[in-house]
Amino acid sequence: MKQAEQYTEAQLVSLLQARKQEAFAYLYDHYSGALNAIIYAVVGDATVAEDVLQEVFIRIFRKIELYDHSKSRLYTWMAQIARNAAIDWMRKTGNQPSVVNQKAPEDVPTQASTSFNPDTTDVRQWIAQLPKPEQQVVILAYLEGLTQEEISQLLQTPLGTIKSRVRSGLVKLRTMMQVNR
Amino acid sequence: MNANEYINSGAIEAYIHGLADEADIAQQLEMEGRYPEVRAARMALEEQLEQQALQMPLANPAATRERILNALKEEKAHTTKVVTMPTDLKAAPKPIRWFRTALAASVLLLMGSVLLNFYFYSQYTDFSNRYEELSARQNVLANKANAMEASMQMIKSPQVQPVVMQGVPGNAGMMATVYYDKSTTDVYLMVNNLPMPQKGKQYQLWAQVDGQMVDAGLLTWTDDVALIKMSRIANAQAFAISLEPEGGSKVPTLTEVKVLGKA
Repeated sequence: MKQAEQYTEAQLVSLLQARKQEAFAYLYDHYSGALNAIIYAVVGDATVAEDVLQEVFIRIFRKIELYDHSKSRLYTWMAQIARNAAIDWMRKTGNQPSVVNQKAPEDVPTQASTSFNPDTTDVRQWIAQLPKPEQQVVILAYLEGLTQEEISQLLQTPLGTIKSRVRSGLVKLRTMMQVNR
Repeated sequence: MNANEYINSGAIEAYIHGLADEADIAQQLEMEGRYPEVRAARMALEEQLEQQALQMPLANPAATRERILNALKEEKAHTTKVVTMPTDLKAAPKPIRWFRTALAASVLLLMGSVLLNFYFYSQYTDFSNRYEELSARQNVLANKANAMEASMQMIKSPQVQPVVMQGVPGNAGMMATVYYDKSTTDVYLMVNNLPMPQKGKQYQLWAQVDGQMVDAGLLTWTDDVALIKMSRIANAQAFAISLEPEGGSKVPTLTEVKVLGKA
């Protein structure tokens, strides 16, 4: 059931900080699909993604006071929580989130209700199209949650080089998304 | 670095996606403070990413909505509001002389009450933390059970061929099994008996395809899962595991091959 109300971001944040149930229902109706896609990109399993999504909403509920609108939009903040929760789940369960070990898009259960959009799996396909050095660091940073410092040590490559590769990889991904939309 | 160079460098993307380290974040905030166009670029990019994400949602079953909203209701019910006790006695009307004793007693009672509140709140927090710990453990166990069930279903499939890899000479007793589905090219690995690799080393699975050894993935050491999904391999004729430097190798170190089995 969709909420009829429309909130500005400031109104929504204020209601979320007051722990209003209707604000969380609105948040779910508007953002759960987008957050779910981020989680799925990491865990590669729709059922697991559902469980992680619940954890994401609980984290949002607990941490909403920490949200600072001057540093990012609400969605950006939530998207980072979603990615971190997915990576935490993968680490906790001993899974290895990598492009290679992800399930193929066709493995997504068909019971996903209204409109499963195969485009949501594009992130992994796009990452796979990056040049190898950039692909490697984007996978390690974005899907596996390693810090740039950790990647630098792992690959025995200077931190500045790792940062450059992460940044140019992200720029290329953005360009691919724009071209393919 | 000027504003345009910074905007085009990808630093803003790294910041938005949560990949920036502390130095990057500080630089982002500093650049935003110095150049309004950097802040505008960050906000425009955030909005663009949000709109793209909202246009390609991955929907959940309707029941998930109710489950999550109910979980939030429970979360709210567990959130206790701490009532602040009045402590500003100066604001109270000046007591008359004979009432001083009674006032002193009240203050003592008040302090006792605050201490008791603190004690009960600490107890509540302790129980609440333990409850969360138990819930988290239960989730982990449920996930393990689900993974085990999925593994059993996969092993039972008539399409799946078990490939037992025995220790090569000098590594007697070592054993691992690949469950290989030739129709889907799925490869799952079960570690039956391999010693824990020493620090800086990692096991790597290899598949022999048309005489060539092909990387089939690194083995992340964990006892949480019985079967580990490895890379998909078509037309494998044999599998082997070697001990490689952490991060893996492009070709197997032949002197470090531990187990081997033909498909």
